[in-house]
Amino acid sequence: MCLAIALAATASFPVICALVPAVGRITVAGLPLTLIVLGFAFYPVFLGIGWFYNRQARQLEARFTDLVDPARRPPDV
Amino acid sequence: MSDAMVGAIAFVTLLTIMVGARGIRVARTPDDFMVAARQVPPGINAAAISGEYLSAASFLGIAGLVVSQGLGSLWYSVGYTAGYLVLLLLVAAPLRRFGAYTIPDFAVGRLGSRGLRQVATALVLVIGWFYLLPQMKGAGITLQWILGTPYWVGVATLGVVVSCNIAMGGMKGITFVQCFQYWVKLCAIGIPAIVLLMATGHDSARNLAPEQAPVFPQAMVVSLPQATDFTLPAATRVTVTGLLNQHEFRGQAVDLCACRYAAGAGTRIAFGAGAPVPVSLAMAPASAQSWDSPLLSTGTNGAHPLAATYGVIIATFFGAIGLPHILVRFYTNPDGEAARRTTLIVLLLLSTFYMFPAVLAVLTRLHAPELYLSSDSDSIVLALPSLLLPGLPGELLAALVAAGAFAAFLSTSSGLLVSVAGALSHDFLHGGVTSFRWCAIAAGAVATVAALLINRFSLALLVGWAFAIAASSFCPLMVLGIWWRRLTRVGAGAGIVVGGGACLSAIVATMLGAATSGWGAVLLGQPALWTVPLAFTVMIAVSLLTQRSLPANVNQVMLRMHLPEALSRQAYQGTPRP
Repeated sequence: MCLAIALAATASFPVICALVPAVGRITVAGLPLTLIVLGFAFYPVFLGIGWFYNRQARQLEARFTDLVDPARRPPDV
Repeated sequence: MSDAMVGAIAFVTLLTIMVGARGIRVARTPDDFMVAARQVPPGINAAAISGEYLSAASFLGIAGLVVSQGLGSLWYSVGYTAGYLVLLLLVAAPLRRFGAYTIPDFAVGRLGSRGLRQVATALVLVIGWFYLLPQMKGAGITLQWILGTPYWVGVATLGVVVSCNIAMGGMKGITFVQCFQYWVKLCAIGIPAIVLLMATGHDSARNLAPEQAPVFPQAMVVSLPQATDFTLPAATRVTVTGLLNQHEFRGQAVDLCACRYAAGAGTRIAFGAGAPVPVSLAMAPASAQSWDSPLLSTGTNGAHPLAATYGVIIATFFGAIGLPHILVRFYTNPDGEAARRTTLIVLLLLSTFYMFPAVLAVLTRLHAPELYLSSDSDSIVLALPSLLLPGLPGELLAALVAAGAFAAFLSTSSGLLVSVAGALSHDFLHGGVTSFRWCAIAAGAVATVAALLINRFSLALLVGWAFAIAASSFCPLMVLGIWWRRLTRVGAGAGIVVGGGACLSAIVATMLGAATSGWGAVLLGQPALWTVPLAFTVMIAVSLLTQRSLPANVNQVMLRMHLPEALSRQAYQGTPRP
């Protein structure tokens, strides 16, 4: 699911720009939107998805461990 | 060009050798020698992965490509980062739990086939060499630009330094070297970007306005280091000293029309404020689309930019999984959870780094547009600091950039050479440390010679191609191998051969100039667009047809990859990992 969000967030941008060329011409404070999105905005999105995925994976594995063998549950989760 | 730059490069190179030499004393057993003994904490490991990953293409190539081809080229930096997100989501933890430290090992351990190992090893060599070429090229043009030495001197220097260092140090040394290199590279691109940003201010965003050719922000004299053909987007009046269209001028005013000119080496042209910026042939954009377009046109001569953009997105997003020199680093994590944490830190380190090439590119466009005339795409980052900041500060920044660029070539080519030499000696020669050493030297020599032949391709494009090959061969192997229990060795082999082979042929065809326009140029120049789906399809279809050759221990292997360590310790009590 995280993969789907990540792909949708990034891969939709070229299509949007191709279908609505006006999007590519928007400027924010003199800087083109393209520069802001491609140069800076994607990175926090990637980090957010990665952090969320790591948390989910850790919790899921802890729940699973708990289910199979409660004695081995890692103490820190 | 300046003593400071030469000093900086020598310093980085010597320091690399010395930090590497420190590792020699630590490395005792052959196992230590190959993989740094699995005791590297996530922070250091993440910096080492990033240090190894950020290559000449990231350091010099992207900024140059953005300046010459437009903002769409930023897809390369987005993709190089996103590759690690995909790696985190799909393979990081299971791969570490599996315990393989090369892709051929993974193929054999998961599917139990010797034949598959040979195929995978051959492909490691192809991808590794392909990726080594742009590093060598980067060294060649950097030394050319700084010292004026011929292209081959830089290529040969890098080849000798890296081969000898690896032949002596092995992986233990390299982990510390790579970690150190990441911080060198971040400083070397971050400090100049921030200093130049503050030094130039941000008063005029004129050259960033949509669909506009750049103009000179103030009156400017441009001197051309070598004979240059250029085109002018609009007519203007300039003062010329030197040779222009075979006329000798001595400071006369000349009216130039919006057409093509040939200037001799050493010609100086004075432009007024607001004059249109001429663009040299080496910097000419591949397509007619505007500079601020979010689509990319590299490698395809500007044909079908939307398809080309998706080609790069697919190649870079899925290519990182299949890079042979990256997988080794996951083996050095203590467990799957640490592998995930390491990957997240890598994502942070890469994101930080990749903001700066964009800043440098925008600064060039805004304040140093003369580089469109006097430089070529891959040297822009080196040329920018001394142009924007005259005097000693500019020279020091330029030295810092040169040091960072060299750190980039050294670290990436070291990591690649370790993988290539490791694959050669381990899988083809069945040798120990001595054979590894000789393989390192031989593989370095091959890459050096090949790099002399590919000078005309841009750095980011070459690295993008290495990613495309990885994405259409090893990526399906890893993803299906980890998540699909019905994968068979015949299916995996067929997918690797068909996908990787198709991708490699397309790239070689493009290099030889097979198709230069239309869909042919897109499908051959950005082959990941069709070779990645092809590889997945072939791998799945052939596996479904050959279910009888399903490995007997598939359930056990899948369990080992996906079971949390707390449970697998119970399941495999006392059994050491292979």
